[in-house]
Amino acid sequence: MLDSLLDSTERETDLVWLSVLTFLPILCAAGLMVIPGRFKEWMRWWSLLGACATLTVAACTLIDYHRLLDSHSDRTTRSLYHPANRLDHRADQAAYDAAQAVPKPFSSFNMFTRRAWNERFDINYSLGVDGVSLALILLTALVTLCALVASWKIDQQLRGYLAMILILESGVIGAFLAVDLFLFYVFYELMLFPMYFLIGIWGGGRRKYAAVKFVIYTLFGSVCLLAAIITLYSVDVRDFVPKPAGDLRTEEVHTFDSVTLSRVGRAVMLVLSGQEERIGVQTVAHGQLVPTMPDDTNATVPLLAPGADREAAIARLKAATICTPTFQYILFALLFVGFAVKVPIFPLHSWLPDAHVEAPTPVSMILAGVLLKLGGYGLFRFAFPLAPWAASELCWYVGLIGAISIVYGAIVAMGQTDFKKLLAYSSVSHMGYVVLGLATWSAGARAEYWEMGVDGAIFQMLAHGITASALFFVVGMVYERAHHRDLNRLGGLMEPMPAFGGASAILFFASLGLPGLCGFVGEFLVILSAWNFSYALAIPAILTTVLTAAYLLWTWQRVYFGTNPDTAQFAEMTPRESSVLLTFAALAVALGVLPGFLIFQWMEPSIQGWVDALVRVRG
Amino acid sequence: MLEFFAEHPGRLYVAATLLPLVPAVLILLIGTVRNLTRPYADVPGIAGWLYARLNHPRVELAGAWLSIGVMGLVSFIAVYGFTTLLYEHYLPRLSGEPIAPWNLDDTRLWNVNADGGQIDWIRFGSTPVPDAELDIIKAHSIHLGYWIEIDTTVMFAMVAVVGTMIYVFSLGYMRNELKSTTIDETLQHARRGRFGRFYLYLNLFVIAMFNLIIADNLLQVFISWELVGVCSYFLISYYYERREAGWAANKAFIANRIGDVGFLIAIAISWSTCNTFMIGALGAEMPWHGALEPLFSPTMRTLLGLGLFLGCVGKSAQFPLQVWLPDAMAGPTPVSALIHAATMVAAGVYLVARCYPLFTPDALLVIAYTGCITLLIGGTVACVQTDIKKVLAYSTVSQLGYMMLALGVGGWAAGVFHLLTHAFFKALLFLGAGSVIHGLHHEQDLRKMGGLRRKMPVTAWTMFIGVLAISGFPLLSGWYSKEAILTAAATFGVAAPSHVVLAVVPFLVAGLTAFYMFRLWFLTFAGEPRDRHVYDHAHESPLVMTIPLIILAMFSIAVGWGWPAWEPEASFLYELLNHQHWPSSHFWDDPQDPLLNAATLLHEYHLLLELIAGAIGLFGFAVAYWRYVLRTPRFHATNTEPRGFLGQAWYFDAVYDACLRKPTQNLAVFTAAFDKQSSDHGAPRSLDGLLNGIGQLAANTGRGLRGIQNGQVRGYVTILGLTVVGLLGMLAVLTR
Repeated sequence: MLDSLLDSTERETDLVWLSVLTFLPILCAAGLMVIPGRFKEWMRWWSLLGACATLTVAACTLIDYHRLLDSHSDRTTRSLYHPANRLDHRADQAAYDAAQAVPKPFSSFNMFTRRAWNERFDINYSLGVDGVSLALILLTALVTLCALVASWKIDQQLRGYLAMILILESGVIGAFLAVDLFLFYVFYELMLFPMYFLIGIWGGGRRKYAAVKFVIYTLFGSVCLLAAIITLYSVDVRDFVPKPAGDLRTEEVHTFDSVTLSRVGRAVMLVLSGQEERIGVQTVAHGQLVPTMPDDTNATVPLLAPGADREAAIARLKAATICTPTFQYILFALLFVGFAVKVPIFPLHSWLPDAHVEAPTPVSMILAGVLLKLGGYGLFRFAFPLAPWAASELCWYVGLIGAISIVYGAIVAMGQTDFKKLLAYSSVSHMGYVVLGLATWSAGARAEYWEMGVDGAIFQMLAHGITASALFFVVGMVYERAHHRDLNRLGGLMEPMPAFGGASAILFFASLGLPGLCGFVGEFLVILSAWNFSYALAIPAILTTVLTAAYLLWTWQRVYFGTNPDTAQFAEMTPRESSVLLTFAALAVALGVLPGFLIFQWMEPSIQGWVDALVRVRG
Repeated sequence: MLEFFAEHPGRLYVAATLLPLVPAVLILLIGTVRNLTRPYADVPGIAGWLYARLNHPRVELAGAWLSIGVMGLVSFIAVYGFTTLLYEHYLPRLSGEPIAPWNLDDTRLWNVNADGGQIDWIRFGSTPVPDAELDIIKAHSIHLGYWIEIDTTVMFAMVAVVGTMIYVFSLGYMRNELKSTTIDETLQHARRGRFGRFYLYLNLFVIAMFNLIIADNLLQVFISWELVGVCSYFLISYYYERREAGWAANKAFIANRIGDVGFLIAIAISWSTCNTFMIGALGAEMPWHGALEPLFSPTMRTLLGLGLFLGCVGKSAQFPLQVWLPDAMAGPTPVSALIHAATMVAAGVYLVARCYPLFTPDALLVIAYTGCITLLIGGTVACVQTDIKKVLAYSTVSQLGYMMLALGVGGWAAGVFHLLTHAFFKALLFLGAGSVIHGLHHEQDLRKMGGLRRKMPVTAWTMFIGVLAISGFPLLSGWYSKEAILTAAATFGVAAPSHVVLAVVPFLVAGLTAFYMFRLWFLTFAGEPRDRHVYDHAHESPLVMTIPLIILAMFSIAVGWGWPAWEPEASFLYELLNHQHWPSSHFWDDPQDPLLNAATLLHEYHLLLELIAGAIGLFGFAVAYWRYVLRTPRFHATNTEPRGFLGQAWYFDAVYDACLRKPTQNLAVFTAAFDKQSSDHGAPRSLDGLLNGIGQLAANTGRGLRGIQNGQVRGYVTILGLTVVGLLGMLAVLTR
C-alpha cells in the first residue's frame, strides 16, 4: 500500500490519493468510535489530528496539481495554461483510454481517477481536481480544522458531534471532487444528515424548527437537482462517448458523466443557435486526444467522440427531445434552483438566518464558510456547462437575481439587531456577488471580462469563506462571554479585549471589501465585469458597497465602541481562540495583498479553460 | 544596492513608501503579544515574563522613536529625490520650452512604465502578451507601478516633512497615553493608555498616503484611497469611548464610500473602454492629446471625469459631502493636522491634478462650481464657530474649495501650489491649536480663552505667522498661492464672462478668510482672559511640541519664495509647477485660446488685482480687530453649540439626517420585517411566513387526507367502487 503511494509508475496513485483526500475524515470518524467515552480530550485531539491530516493531504494535492499544470508547455500558451491540463480534457482522455478494446493502463498523476462503479447504469467513481475545486477543498479543510478548534468547549455527546463534523467534511470534499453526477448527488446528500443532526441536537432554543427548515429547503433544491440529473441521464449520448474502433454505435448509451454531458450541452447550444455546422469530432494523435489550443480560431468545435459519424450524430441530436429550447430552459431552471437554494439567493434564503442563529458556533462557521460555497460551485461546475444555451439566454436574469440578493441582503442586514442574524443576511448579500460574477456572460473579444467575472466570483467564495466563518467565530466568542447577541446591549468590547478587537477589525473590514484585504478582490473583479455586461446590474452592486459599509460599521460601533459596564470585565481571547482568529486574519490580509501570487496563478487556468470552452460555442 | 536605485530612481520612492511598514509591523506584533499575554500578567511563566517586558512605556516610546527615525529617513529620501529630479531634468529646461508631462522621455528612468518594472497584481488569460509598452492598450493583467513627476516629488516631500513634524509633536501631545491608566477628559472615564496604537495608525496612514502619491494607475490610487480612509476612520475613533467619536468616524467613512461609488464607476469605465487603469494611457485616449480614434464617447469621457471627481468630493470634503470633515475633529489634534488638513483631504485635489487631462470642459466646470460653493460654505460657517478646531476645520473646507476652483478654471499650477503652501500653514495652525488645547488641559472652547499670548508666547507667535500666511499677507507663502488662484479665477472670469461668479466669490471669501482667522487668533491670544480658571492653569507646551511649530512656521513663511520676492508670479515653486505644462482642455478646440488672451490682458492689471485682494483681506482683518479687540467680545451661553443658519453649517446635517439616514434606516427595518417576522407560526405577513405557509399547506393537506385513511373497510370499498366506475366510464368515453 505504501509502495503504491510512493511509486510514481504505479498506476493506482491517483485513485489512492484522491480517495484518501475524500475519505480520511470518515476514517477518523470511525476511529473515534473505538476511543472509550471517558477520554473526551483524546477524542478532540484525535479529530483535530484527522482534520490536520486532511488539510495536509489537500496542501500536498495543491503542490502536485501545480506540478501537473507545469508538466505541459507550449510556446503559444502561457505557462500553466496548457489546455491538456483542463479537467474536461483529462476526463475525456480517461474515458477514451478506458473504452479501447484493450483498455490502456490508467494514467497516473494527472489528478483524475475513473473506475466503473455500476456498469449497468454507467455510473463511475470518477474524481478529479482542478483549480476551482482544489481551492474550495483547501478552504473546506481549513475551515473544518478551525471549527474543530472552536468546538473545544462542546461537551454534550461529544463523540457524535465530532463524528458528524468529520463526516460532513468528507461529504463536502467528495462533492467538490466528484465529476460523475450520480456520485456528486450521493456526496451532496451525504452532507445533509450530519448537518441536520448538528443543528437539531447541538443547536439553540429553536433548533428543531431550524433543522427541519434547513432540511426541507435543501431537499427542495436536491429534488430539482435530481430531476435534472434524471433528465440528463435520459439523453442518448452514443455519439459523445468514446467507443472501441469499429463500433457502429447502434445502441443507445446513457451516462452520468458530467464532462460528456457538458459536451452534449455545448452541441445543443450550437444546434439551437443555428451553428450546427461547427460541431466537430475530437481527433486523436498517438493515442491522446488533441486539445483545442487557445489560439485556435478554427470554427469547428470538437465535441463528438473520436470515430463518431458526424452527419448521423447531428441528425440524431436534432431529433432528440433535449435539443429543444423548452427542454433546455427547464433543465437550466432545475439546476439553477437546485444550487441557488444552497447559495442562497433571494427569495430562497429564508432557511439561512434560522439555521445560523440556531446552529452552534462551529457549525455556523462550516455552514457559512463551506456549505454555501457548494451552491456557487454547483452553478459553476454543473448548471452553466450542462445547459449552456439556456444559461447564455438567461444570464441577464441570473445576474439580476444576483444583484437583487446583493441589495436585499444588505438592506435586511441593516435592519437586524441580532449579531448572528445580521451576519447571515450579509452572507446573502456577499454570495450575490458570486451569482452576479458567474452571470456576466460576454462573448467574443469581451470574453476576457467574463473570465474576470468568474475569477471574481470564485475568489469571492474563498474570501467569504474566510471572513464569514471568522466573523461567526467572533460572534461565538462574544456570545460565550455575554450570553446574548443583542447588538443594542453590547458595546465597549475594544477596551477589555484589544487583541480580539484588532483581529476582528481586520475581518470586518475584509468583509466590507476594503482594498488590501481579501473581500475587495472578488467584489472588484465582479463589479468590473458586471459594468461591462450591463450598467443596470453593475450600479446596484456598486451602490451596495455603501450599504455594506454602513451596516458593518454600525455593527462595529455597537459592539466595540463606547463604554459598557456589563462588558468591561470580559476576558481577552485565549490562546486557543487566538489561534483560530489570527489564522483567519492573517489569511484575509495575505489573500488581499497577494491574490495573484497565492491563488490566481494556479486557479485561473481552470477558469480560463471553462470560459474558453463556453465562449467558443457562443459564436 | 545604490546601483539598484540609481538605475531607476523611482525605486527610491517605492522603498520610501514601504519603509514605515517596519515600525508598523513591529508595533503591531508587540502590541498583539502584549495584549494576549495580559491575562497571564500575574501567572509565573513565559507569558507573564513577556508581558512584564513588553508592558513598559519604554517599549512604546521606542516604537515612536523608531517611527520618527524612519520618517526622517523618508524625508531625506524625498528631498533627495526632489532635488535630483530638479537638477537632472527640470533646471536645465526651466528657461526653455515647457515640458509636456505625457512625454515620458524626459523622465524615463523615473517611470517604470516604459521599462517593464511594474508588478502584475493579477494576471488573466492564457495567451502570452509581449512586454507591455505604454502604447499597447490590450492589457492582460492588473498591475501596480509608479509614476514620478515633479508634482509627485514635491507632494511626497511635503507629506514626509509635515509628517515628521507631526510625529515629533505627537510625542508631547500624546504623552498621557503612555501611562498605564489615563483619564479620558470628556467622559471622566479611566482607561489604559494607547500610545503605540496611535503611531501604528500613523505609520499605516503614511504608507497608504505615499502609495497614493506615487501610483501610476487608478486602481492603485483607489486601493490607497480606501486605505487612507480606513486609517482616518480609526484615528477619528481613537477615543472610541466617546459616542461622537464613533459617529464621526462612521460618517467620515460612509461619506467617503459614497464618493468612492463614483470612483469605482470611473475605474469600471476606464477598464471596459480602454482596458487599462493607467492614468497616462487614459490621458493619451483624450482628443486633446491627438488620439486619432478616441475609444471614449464624449458622454463616457465626461462621466469618467465626473466619477473620478465624485471620489475627490468625498475625500476632499467638497460640497455636498463636506459634512464629515468638521465632525472628524473628534480625533486627536495631530491627526487633524496630518490627515484632515495637510495630506489626506488634499488627496482629492491631488488626484484631480494628476488626472487633469481626463476631465472634459464640462467636468472641469462642475469642479470649478463645486469648489466655489464649497469655499463659500466653509468660509461663512468658519466665522461663527466657537470650537477652535471647528474653525480650522471649516477653514480647511474653504481652502480645499479654493484649490478645486483653481483646478476647475484651468489654474492647474495655482491649485497644486496652494495645496502645498496650505499643507504647511494649516498643519502649523492645527498643531498650534493642539498646543493650546494641550496647554489648557483639553479645553477647546474659544469663549473660555483669551489673553493666552502671555502664557504661551511661542505658540501664539508661530500661530500668528500661520494666520498671516492663510490670510494672504504679502511675502508669506499663502500670499503667493492665493494670488495665483485669484489670478486664475479672474482670468477665467474674463475669458468666459457668463461664469463671472467663479471670479467674484473667491475674492470676497478672501476677506472672510482674514476675518475668521484673525477672530480665532484674537479670541485665543489677545485681550483679557475670559475664564480665569482656564487661564491660571495654562502653560506653554514643551520643546518637543514647540520646535515642530517653529520649523513649520519657517516653512509657512518661505516655501513660496522666489526672486524677486515681491512678484507673486516669480515664486520658484509656482514657476516650477507652471512649467509642467498641462494643456487646459477648456478651450482645446479653439485655436485662439481665450484663456491665454485673458491672461495677457490681466497681466497688465495684475497690480490692481493684488491691491483689490489686499484691500479685501485688510477689511476682514479690520472687522475682526474691531469686533474682538476694540470691543470686548461677549458670549451669552458658553456651553451651547452655535445656532442659526451658519452655526448649523447651512443645515446640511439636519437635511441629510431627515432625507438620507432616517429613510434608509426605516427602509432597513421595514425590509427586515418584510423578510421575517419574529414569530414563525403567524399569518404569512412576511416572505418567510409566506414560504412557511406553503409548507404548512402541504402539512394541512396531509392532515386532511389522513381522515380518509381511517381503517374502516366500508370507506375503502366505497372508494374502490367509485374508482372502478370512474375508470370504466373513462374507458367508455375514450374508446367511443
